[in-house]
Amino acid sequence: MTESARITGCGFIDPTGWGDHLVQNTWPAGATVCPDRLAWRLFSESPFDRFGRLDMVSQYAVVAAEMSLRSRTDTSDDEETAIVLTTAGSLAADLEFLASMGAPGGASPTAFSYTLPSTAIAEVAIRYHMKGPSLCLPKPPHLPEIGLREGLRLVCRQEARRCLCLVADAIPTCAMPLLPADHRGGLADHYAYAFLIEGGSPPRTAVSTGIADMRVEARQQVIRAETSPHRAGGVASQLCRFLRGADSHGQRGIESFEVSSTREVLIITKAADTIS
Amino acid sequence: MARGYNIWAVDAITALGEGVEETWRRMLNMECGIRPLRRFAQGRYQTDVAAEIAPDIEEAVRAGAFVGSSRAYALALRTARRTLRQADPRPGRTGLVLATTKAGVDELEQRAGGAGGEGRCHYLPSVLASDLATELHLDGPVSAVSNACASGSIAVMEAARTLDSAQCDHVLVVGVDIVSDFVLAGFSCLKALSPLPCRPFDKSRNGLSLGEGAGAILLTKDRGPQALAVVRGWAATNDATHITAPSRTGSGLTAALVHALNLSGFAPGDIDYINAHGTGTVFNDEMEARAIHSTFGSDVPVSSMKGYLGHTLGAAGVIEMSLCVMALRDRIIPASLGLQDLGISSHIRVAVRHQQASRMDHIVSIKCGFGGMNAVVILGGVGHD
Repeated sequence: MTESARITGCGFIDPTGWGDHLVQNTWPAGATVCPDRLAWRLFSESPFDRFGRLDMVSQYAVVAAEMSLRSRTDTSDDEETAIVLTTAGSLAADLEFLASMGAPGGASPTAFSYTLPSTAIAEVAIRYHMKGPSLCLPKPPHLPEIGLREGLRLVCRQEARRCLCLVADAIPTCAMPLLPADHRGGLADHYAYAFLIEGGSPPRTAVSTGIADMRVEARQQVIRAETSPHRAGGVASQLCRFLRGADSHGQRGIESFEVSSTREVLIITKAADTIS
Repeated sequence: MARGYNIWAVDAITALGEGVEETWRRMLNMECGIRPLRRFAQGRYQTDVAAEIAPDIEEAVRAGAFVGSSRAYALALRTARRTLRQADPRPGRTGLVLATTKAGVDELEQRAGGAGGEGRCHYLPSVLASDLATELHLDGPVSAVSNACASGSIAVMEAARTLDSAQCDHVLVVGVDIVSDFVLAGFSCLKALSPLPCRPFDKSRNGLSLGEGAGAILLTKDRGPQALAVVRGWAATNDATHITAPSRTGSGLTAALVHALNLSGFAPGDIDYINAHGTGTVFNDEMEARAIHSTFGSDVPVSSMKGYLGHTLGAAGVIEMSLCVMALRDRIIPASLGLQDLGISSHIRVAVRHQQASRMDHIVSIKCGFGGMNAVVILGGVGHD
């Protein structure tokens, strides 16, 4: 069975910069990566009231979501859903809450409110009025394609018309020893990548309504595109670069991006009018 | 959407006992598993009661897992093994979906408190799921779902989608959460705990009672002679209003109920019992009653299982669904323990005592959670296609 959908939006924030499928902005030399500062540029409110109160992973998720949703031509509805794929989840908030339990003022209700891995997706749903099903999938870092695969599955099954797939983590240095040894090192510890997936038949004409087409095909053999463990942001970061028109080495004109798992391959092809 | 995912085996380990049959039997005796705190200091939290696993079961659970493992892992492993044994041998590949909110948070408490060593990191749901699958020699896809207290129901949906993708032949859904200092302190500071055992839908309800436990459901597309029940449909929505409080109007849950009925082709009158989330908090029960009334009117019997088992958080969806399989089998509508005077503004029919149902073909199970999560699963008996 072949399942297909379209990627119609893309946004990211990581140590290399921030942007969408058209533009990558780089951080000023020496600047600290901080979604709070970026929020002032992105949101028409200055910034929206809740932003400063969000935990770090929610801030990253909301910023990436904002950039990916700019291409949305209609408002959200009950059929819009959001998925977050996260490795550390609420680990930072958990540690903050545990510290508050022993503090003179007692356990913090605000900190406790953020001690669920699903809080980031809840904040995104509140911000963008996404009333369809929400899904939080804690995943080991070497299974990055799952979020996209789940989004594709939801729109193909018509459980959602549109799905925002997020890969997000914000792991403070103090939490790093609490991760399994094979989860540490590698790529960034603070990042969010967002991909907006829409259902319906992929466009077959030169005039595309999306950035890229995406489909899944069954594999007869066991194939893995990535052989070494890497952070969840790794493949998502590569996909962002691909959607902007360059491969991971800056080479342009690449038309197809593939991520293989044990039984199937996720194939993303640039829409006809976006191929440079 | 393809419908009809068969439940081949179920199990639960709860404050009322080991095994879904034992838990169900004691529920029918109207026994309450919510008792004075055993593993935690009295007077430290907003409440001194919770539904903890009994010491003799705890010992057996511990004996089955490696030394030093988290309680969540030990509980999940035992219920998973018990469930898989019911369906041995199974042809084909078996996957795993784990449902949890805080997984092995007891291990995080120890390590953050200065305990040395690497540990297993079972406070990360993905690691807990992976270790379970390895120990159980499961060869299908492995995933974890953490959608607050709707995790268990959403994990069942995820399992059904996994079966549809033909990546495996069976999926074992395991739900687990434990009572810990972390969650006791958290719900205490939110002022969400009832000082006495919770009283869902009662006029005097004033909070939830925490519970712990694990449950497992083996789901497959093949009906087979051993099928106990069938997952007929589902829907999930998000209120998109608040990270801890439910929508006051119940609009998100109403939408989920309507979607689940529509997608599975049922009318409200086809449903014979509603297994409510029914936490015993003022706002949840009021919201839920509104949604149930607006979808079903006041004819379908409703009850909550939290008065027996406490709120088992991410495990609730799986544990309570396994008990719904018992309700389908025995055609019994379980009473809502703790209810004396109905205290909700919408008129719904909450069962005060157990009832033998003249018809028990389909059950709706509702679970809701922080972050506006609403999940609805429709279960059916095997003879009602």
